[in-house]
Amino acid sequence: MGDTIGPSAFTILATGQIECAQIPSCTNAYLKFQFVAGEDWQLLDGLEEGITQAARVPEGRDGVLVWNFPIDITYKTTNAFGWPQLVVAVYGLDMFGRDVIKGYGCMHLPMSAGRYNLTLRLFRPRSASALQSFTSWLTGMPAEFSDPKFPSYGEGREVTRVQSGGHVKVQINLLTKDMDVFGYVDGSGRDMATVTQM
Amino acid sequence: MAELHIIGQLTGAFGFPSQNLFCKWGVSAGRSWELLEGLDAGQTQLDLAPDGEPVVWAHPLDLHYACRGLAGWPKIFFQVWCQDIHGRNDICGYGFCHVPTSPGQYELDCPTWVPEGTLGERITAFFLGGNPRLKYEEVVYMPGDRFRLNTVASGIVQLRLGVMVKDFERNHVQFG
Repeated sequence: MGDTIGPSAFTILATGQIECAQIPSCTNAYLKFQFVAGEDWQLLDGLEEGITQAARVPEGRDGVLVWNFPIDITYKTTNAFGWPQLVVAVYGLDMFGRDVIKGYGCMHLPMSAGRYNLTLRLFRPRSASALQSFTSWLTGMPAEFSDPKFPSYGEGREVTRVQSGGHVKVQINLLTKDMDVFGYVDGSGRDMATVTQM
Repeated sequence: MAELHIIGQLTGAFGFPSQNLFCKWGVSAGRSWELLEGLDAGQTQLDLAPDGEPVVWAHPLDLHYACRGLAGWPKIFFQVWCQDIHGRNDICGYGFCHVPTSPGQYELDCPTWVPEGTLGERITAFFLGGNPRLKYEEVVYMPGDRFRLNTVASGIVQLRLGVMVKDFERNHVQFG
């Protein structure tokens, strides 16, 4: 242990934006996001959850939904276990104007300081039977996860059947502070040809 | 005591004969490694992907190991299974990859293989299902006797991993 009283925790700061999404056969959608972190993590600044605006695909262009929603969050912790995850849920409008789930996505925030362009691929639960998928189309209530944090869990996933389609693009800049005081080496500053485009 | 954090996700897979896949995964580490926090085995969701797109699992991995000796650096092994329209599960690929030994953020592509039977067995498997499976599954990630095994290449499993270490440099370990 050192002679001086050092920091009691290390901090990570993530800034960036939820840029856009491309989802087949979806022209109007909004996104709900949430940060999920372990028990040892404490939120210092920023919003842990939020909802973007409802975006529409412009006429005559490739089907890109642009949100350009800012992300700004700071966490403090003593243990890297439980590193924060970004969980997103995209809701679109069906032809009757009701909110239906278009996909969930999840990813960990990067562990090395730097700038990242990340792609979250989306998936949504499949109906249990053909009859259920027809009635859910009719009533505008397709199968959803009852717990919005479910995509961030490692347990209990084996009983879910999903179908995938579409993706969300997120840009993140990550800064860390005092990790070296705790003896952590996160690999930033090395020659990482694979890091910048994920 | 040195510690290792493996944080990331089992992103998905592509190149398999089926687009309806799930993965059983596990992490194996040597005797001098102790798992402090996290799950070292699990099973992903079953995902049906559209043609031409990769299968999406997005299964979070968060492991915290304590290390007393470098031998037996952790490795992740997978069994990729497909489910047909009748709901039968069949093995589609075995594979493994070592967790990178340098801290940083990685995108890993792990190739997989599947055991192959004789021509007669392959014809039966086409109609009835039932690819041959390994009897001793440690063969996938342990160096050992594989020369009697005939295999054929299967698809690729994608991983996005972040590796972070604590106090390794204090113990004079170089990462390069």
